[in-house]
Amino acid sequence: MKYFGGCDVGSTYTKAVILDENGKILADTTIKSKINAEESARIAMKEVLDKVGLKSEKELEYLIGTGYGRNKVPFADENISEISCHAMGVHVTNPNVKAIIDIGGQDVKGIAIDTDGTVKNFAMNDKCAAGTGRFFEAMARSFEMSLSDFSKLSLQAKNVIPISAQCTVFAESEVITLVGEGKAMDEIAAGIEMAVAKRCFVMAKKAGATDSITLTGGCAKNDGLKDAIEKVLKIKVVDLDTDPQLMGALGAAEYARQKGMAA
Amino acid sequence: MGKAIGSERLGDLYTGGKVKKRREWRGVEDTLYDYKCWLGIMGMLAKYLVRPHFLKGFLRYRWMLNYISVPAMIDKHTVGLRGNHLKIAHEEYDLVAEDVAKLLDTAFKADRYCGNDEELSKKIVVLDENEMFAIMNGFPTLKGISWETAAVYVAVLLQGDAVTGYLDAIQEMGLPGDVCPMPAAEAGTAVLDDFPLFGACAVQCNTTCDGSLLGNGIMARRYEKAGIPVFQIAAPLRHTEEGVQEYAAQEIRNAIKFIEDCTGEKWDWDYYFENTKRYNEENRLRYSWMEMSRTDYPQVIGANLALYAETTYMAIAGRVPDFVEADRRITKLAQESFERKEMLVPEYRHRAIIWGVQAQYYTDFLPWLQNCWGILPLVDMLSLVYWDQLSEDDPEQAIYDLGKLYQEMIMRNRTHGGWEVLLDDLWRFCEYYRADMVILWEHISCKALTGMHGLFEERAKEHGIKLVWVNHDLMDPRVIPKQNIRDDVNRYMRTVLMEEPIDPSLEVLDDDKLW
Amino acid sequence: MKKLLKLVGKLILAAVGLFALTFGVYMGNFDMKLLAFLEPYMDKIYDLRKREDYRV
Repeated sequence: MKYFGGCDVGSTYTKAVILDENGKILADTTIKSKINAEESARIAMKEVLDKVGLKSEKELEYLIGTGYGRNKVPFADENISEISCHAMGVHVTNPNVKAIIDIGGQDVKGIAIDTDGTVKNFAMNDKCAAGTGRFFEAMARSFEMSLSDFSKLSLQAKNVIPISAQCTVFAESEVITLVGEGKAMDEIAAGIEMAVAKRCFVMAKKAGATDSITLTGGCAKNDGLKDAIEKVLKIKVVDLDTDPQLMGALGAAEYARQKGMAA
Repeated sequence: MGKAIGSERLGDLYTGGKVKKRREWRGVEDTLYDYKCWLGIMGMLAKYLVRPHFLKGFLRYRWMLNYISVPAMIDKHTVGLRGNHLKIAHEEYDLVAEDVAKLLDTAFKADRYCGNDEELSKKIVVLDENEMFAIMNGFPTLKGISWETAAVYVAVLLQGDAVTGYLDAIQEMGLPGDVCPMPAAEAGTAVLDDFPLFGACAVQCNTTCDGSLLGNGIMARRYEKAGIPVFQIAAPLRHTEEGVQEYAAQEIRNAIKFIEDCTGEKWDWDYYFENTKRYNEENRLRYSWMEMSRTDYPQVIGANLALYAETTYMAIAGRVPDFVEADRRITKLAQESFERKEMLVPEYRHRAIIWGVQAQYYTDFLPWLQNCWGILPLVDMLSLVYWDQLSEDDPEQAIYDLGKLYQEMIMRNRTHGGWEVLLDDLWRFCEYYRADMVILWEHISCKALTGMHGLFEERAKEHGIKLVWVNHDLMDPRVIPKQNIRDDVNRYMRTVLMEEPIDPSLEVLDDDKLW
Repeated sequence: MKKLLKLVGKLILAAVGLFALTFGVYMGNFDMKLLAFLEPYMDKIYDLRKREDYRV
């Protein structure tokens, strides 16, 4: 049996996937990233290698690394851009999906996928934390809640209190003020989700990605955000069968499989 | 390394510091030629520096320290060039360097704090950096001098972080940080009193945009306190409309009268038309280079076109015969290379239109596009200016011509005047120049262009053009460093086009400190 | 004649030496390296200047 690996080193989480020759996922993992990207990659890879009974990366036919920045996995056979890997990961999971909104720890991307899983176009905001995972962490902190509890809060809201601040820092101040004024927490949460959804809409439009869309990255598990995006985009967001946070690593592993099988 | 184009891994010359390891070896002939030009530049710089008023200016104004890197600026814009393309570059840069040296020499001679030559000062009209200089074309005994050009525009060309101190100064006064750095830097220079004071009068202009009114206002107050009267040419925004042309012409008449009243000199039509004939020839020659760029063998492209076109169109405007002579030599060199089908880089992969306003701290981005990815920057927005030939004998028409020139100053002719000149014209140029790609400079502090972002995306999709957005902050490299600019292209080339660079050593460079 | 030839010889040597020196400076980028080294010291000159206390 041949094994193919993909490792996606993110700012918050590192993910790794191992596939067989047929593209079936044999092992996957998600760990919190350390400050040293290579160390994070080695730890994640060791976990998935252990799960399939392999001793080291050398036993993989091909390993591809990815993540924000370049050469995040220096011991990989190759490093490919995370945008390409996300697109491929979603394509092998559900070939009908044509577009992705990827909300990571520190950036937001809109990606349009071509028929073969490659990238047709993309737009990204990596200059500002507004609308990223960092933004949600700051908001959950203001609410004194876990991210998981915060993500469900807006689903109960009957109204939306709009958040006017564009900047994460100012938005946090605005939210604290609203909470202090005794405004309904679920309605404030709905305002926060809506603010992010509007930014995602802009990213998606920029990339020409508005048809048959899905979410990837950690924030894809935020039910409140998914609900807000559906309201803003006026289309149903496709749920993926595989953990959306794994798409980057899955795409990297799929590229590894294609290159390894072609060799 | 050697004579052949692409024979050196250009990225290996970077050290992470201010200077490169060594200069390029371009083969015997081209290296000796470049060496000869370097000797010329060093001699020219020394010639001016030894003059007492010039030395005084050098020691007085902090922005003058950037000028020690003039040879490095020429090196970075000639990177990778060989043969006639190298000669074309030197024709341009060496001449512009000397012209700027002359500007500084005149400025410091007249400056109250340096040479204090009052007689000379009375013959000077102070102009903005972002203003057509053609108003001087009818005054044979007067000089139009822009200290802003030297202190801000050229300074940043030489050293990317040249004006960050001035930006900090004006922001300490309360100016927000997201304002265009160009007028902000001008204003900062003014509040720190770090500019030479001279001139019989000043003629400012509202080009490129409202940002210039900010800087102009602060400087006008300073000038008037020093006894230098100021006139503002208010060039209309909607320059494509017939209805504003009379107003534009009247502004020119008013400016001419103002200069006449302040200096005692009279407008001379013979002198004006003599300059106009040269200006028309310069423009014809430049169009011929751009016409060559429609073919498979473009010759005068990228930085060789962009920086030079800005200088001749806006600042020289036909007044300096040396420039027309240089243009004729450049045309001859370009024609020779075109007939021999000579290429600038080993592989041509994409033909690009460069749109938007360049990052002033990274004008050598265009040579990088060529050398790293084989993307040919055929023409740029700042070179696609007023096309018509001006009248060479009709004084009445000439006033309207000047009015039109002032409205259609570089950048201004596209960022104002409606969406057609900014948005729709781009796709026509893509077709005209057979371009498959647009590199769109997105100056994040520019309110004129950012509002059109979505429309650009839609149109690019309709026309099937690869649109690559490149973010920058004009004169503040702290906001978006050069590697981020390169990464905008690197990411697109690898992710969407799945290409590998022609020269991989250029993909990632440690050049934040580089001159 | 001999003196003239000697002089010419010396001039040629001097010219070759000058070429070698300047070409070495050019090729090694030593002109820019020297100026880059001196720049921080030259920058201090501007701090010495007393400025008019002008504020808009």
